[in-house]
Amino acid sequence: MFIVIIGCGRTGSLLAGNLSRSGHEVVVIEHDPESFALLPVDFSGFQIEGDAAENDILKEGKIESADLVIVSTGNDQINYLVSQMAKVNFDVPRIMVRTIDPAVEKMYENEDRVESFSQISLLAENMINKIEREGMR
Amino acid sequence: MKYKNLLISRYFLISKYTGIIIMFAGAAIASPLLFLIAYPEEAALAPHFLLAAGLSVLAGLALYIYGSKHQEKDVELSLNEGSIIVIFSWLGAIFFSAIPFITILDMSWTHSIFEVVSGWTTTGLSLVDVTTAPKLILIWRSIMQFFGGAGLAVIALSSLLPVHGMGLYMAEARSDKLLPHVKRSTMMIMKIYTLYTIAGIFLYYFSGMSMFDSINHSMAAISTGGFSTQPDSIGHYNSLSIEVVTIVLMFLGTINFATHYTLLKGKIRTFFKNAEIRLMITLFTLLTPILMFFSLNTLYPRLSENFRVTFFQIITALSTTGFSTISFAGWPLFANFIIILIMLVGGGTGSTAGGIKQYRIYLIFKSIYWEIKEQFLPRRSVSSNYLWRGENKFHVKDQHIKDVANYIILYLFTFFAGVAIHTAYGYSLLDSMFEFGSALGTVGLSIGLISPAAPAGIIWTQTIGMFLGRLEFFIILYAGIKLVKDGVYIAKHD
Repeated sequence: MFIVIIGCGRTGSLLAGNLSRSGHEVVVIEHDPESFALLPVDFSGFQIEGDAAENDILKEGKIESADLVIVSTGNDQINYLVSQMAKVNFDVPRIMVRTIDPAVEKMYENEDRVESFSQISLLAENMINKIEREGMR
Repeated sequence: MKYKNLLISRYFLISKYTGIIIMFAGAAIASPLLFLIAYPEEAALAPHFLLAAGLSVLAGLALYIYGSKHQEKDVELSLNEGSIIVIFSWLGAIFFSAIPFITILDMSWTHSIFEVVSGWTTTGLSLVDVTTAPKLILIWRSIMQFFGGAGLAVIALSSLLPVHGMGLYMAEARSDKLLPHVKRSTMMIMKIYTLYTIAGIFLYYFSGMSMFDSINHSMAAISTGGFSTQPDSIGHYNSLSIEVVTIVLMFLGTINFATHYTLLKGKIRTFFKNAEIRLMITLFTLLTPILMFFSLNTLYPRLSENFRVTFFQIITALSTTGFSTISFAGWPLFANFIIILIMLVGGGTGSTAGGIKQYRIYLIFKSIYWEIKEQFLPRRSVSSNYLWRGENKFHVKDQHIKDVANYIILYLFTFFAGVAIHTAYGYSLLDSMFEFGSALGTVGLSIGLISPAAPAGIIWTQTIGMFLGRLEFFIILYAGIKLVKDGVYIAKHD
């Protein structure tokens, strides 16, 4: 599978490393070149330095032929913008977006092809599940 | 203590991967036996090849089993560890490949190792008498060049090894990635490479070469190797069409695989923007007339012949192939000097060629230009310097220029050290520069200095030069330093 990952922070680099290791073709786009150091040594995909909100940078990453785009920058506005660009301009079949503020999730609710993942909602859900399973002590 | 255990477990891993690659080399040694179908009269030689192949597979298997004892899951290989694997598998492959030369042709170890290193590094200097050597030996020399051109680790990565191989890929001086995954990249390289070789075989065949010679020359040309089945190389045929085919194949062989990929995808304009292609075109248009009209016009009075000879020798030197149509011994000093310069420049990065590499030369000239340009810009202006590499613009950082400059200095330093050794043996400065430049750049042109009668010191100097030139110095340094450091650490903390 050809995967484009936008944002190479802690989340992006972890995803990129694991996906590359399991045999996928991975391209990482990141604004800050120093963040590429977070990638593991055996990451064998491409690294593109640039602002993902620019059409040309996305084109350089061959986003139009991507099977999956993962948007994981640390900024909700940018995440939304890039996911829309991937969906509308480049017609990507599947887009996964990370959200920071759980309130933003609503924006993605009725979007087809776009799935959102909120780390805070996931965390809260996990904790609540555990509390409910084990009961109040 | 914990670090020591970690280090030791890494070495088990290194041993395992080295074992796999040496086993693969064993399979390669057995491959000339396929040609017994066409030449059954040489069946008597089969045991020699089987012996070498068997020993190689056994050694590889031993390393593999030994390394598999301490299996850790999910390990990654760094560049330094990749370097160690590449060097040991190359040394292993060289050692076992030399056995048929020793047992069949009764050559000494020194001469056999020289011949084999010349094969694996795609140099093409030879001590074998091709007129009397059996066909199996000839085809084995070409097969070594074919595999050596692509690189052992690259071939192994494309088929056998698990995907954790970025360090290995980088270590074998194949730094440009074609596709965003090592395995796909190496498979694409092998596809392009094999396709060109097969095309080359047919082109030669239709130009009037015998099938056996076509196979040999095609493998040797596309790998920029230069082993020939004729004592006077391509010049033997004296045929224009064969020379044109050779020129095309050498040209293809010296282009970066990433650039090939751009070309195959039909992006002609990006192809011509590429730094290396530009440098190559500039060198051709500049040097061909200079050589033709300032030096060789007395030797070859007819214009068409002059052009044919000059162009062929320039491309054979630049692509670091080493086929020749004439003898360099009678050439004027100036022409030979230009050929030495071209040999130092060499082919493209990430191709099968050797030398300093056109990309580095281009970058250094560009950086000199940028430096001068910036001197005349307003004080606070910001400029972004880039060049074209593969399909993309590549923005050049100072660190990158430093790496490249260091490499060039190290290359030239080694070159002068080798020339010094040659002159100490009493050869003239021109001969020494020509021969060692040819060995270090893995070119394989000879001015007539290397022969079975040459002293052993010269043969070993050139052997080491070829090995250094093919694996690009730094990884040999990295591997050596890492081995010593780790060895000292393990010994100290017993």
